[in-house]
Amino acid sequence: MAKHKKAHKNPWLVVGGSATGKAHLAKNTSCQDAFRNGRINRKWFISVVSDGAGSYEHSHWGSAFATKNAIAVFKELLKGERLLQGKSIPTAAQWRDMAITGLSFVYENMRFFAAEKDIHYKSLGCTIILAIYSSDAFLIAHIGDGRAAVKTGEDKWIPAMVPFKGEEMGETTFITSNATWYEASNRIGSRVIKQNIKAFALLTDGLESYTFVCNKKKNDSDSFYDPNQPFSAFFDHNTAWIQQLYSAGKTTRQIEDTLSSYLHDGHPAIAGEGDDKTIVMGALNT
Amino acid sequence: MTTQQNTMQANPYKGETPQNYEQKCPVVMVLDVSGSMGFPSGDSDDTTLIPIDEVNAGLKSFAQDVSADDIASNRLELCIISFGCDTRLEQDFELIKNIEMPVLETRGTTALVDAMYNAIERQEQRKQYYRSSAQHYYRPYIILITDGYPNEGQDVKGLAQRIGHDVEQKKYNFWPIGVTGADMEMLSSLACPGKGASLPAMKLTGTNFAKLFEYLSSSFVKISNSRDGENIDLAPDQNLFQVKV
Repeated sequence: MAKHKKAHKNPWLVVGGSATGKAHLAKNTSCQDAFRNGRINRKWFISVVSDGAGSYEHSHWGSAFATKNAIAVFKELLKGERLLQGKSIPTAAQWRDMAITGLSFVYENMRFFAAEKDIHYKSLGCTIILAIYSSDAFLIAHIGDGRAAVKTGEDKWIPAMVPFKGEEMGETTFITSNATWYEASNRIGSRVIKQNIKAFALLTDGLESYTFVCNKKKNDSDSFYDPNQPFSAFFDHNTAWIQQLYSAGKTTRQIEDTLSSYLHDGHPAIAGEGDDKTIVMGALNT
Repeated sequence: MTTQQNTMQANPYKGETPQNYEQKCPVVMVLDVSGSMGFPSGDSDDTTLIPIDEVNAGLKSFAQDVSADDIASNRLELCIISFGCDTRLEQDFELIKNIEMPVLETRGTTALVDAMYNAIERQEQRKQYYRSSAQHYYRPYIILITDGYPNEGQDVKGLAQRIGHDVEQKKYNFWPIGVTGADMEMLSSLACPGKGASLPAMKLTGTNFAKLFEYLSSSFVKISNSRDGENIDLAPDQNLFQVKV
């Protein structure tokens, strides 16, 4: 089997996988998650995941459109952006401005898309997690829930975002929610992690219980809290696994098919999850 | 390719997952124990079948079936309110696997409206508890099972307005179920089909309580295994109900 030539290696190996949840399979509903990966310039890359709202009729179109359009919007928005040239890294405030501007363009484009399809734009309701990254910084923005983690230069997995969750299970905010734009300060998350980055993961909430410590009881109390702590065993093993597959000569497409298959029935607990499951994992090629 | 490489490619992570507490799925069963539930129903071929005995057996099997599912048994919290001439809290919210099911006995008439208001209040108090302890929860379910009509003087219209308002505000889901003798017109006036996971008024065919509770347990296993309790196929395997779910 041909191995990948070092000369043609990208600095990052980034792959994604999706699997339709058990409950959706039973109801013959297609997967409402989507993901996409791309490149901004020689140094910066971009990955997006999106989770379509279960109760919205066209949310699978919404998530597919949002991921594709977000890549296009941010590539255009950041083309020539001096903040992403050389060693420069945006500040938190600068990134927040860029992120909200870019996501607002995605929102407007979704409304145009809905008009073209002659459907109500709210029927496209979906979340979005968008990351722009290099080996020395990770810029993330999100609307809604899901989780994200990065592996630092000290080999520690840390959370990269705090999901937006309502009281009820599954309750969150979407790109198409009016409240997202009226209360952008509360509902659009953004963060700049200025550290050496060795790996990362973005995932929709169908996977969070299996990959994050996210619901614990406080000691000596009846209260619960969300530690938002990445479960490093899962991420270390799986990022090493995709790197092994790549080293063995598998193409990105082949690795993604294998990853999707794993999400479908490769882990006994994940296989039983009713919701759709999507993950994008990236690791620096060494 | 080495054996280790082969193993790595074929064996992605199947190990332990993080220990997370399960989110709770609160269900209130509002059960008619009026006098008529103590007599065989005219609909059944078996004249020895007493509805209240069937309900008690059904509750036990419901608990067993749900407890057999690892996830549902740690999520579903059951509250039981009975109504006859008065209303009684038979079982307050508790994880179903921890409940010793009460044995219901018939008594008097049909204080259905009072029982429903009690159920509405109990689920609201439970949600307050979840909020105060920072727990996410599934939208509660209220399941009403009755074989009659509310006592004279009970404000059914007012109750219908209250349920309609609450379901519209996404406070809970409501499943009204009638058995032999039930006033289905009254139950339909309370129902809010198509709102959230609320269902239309359903009339049980005959007195098939065993199948009814089997349907309820399989539905709630599906619901509590889902992420948001919605978009689940809740159609029964056989045509249990005269009104199609």
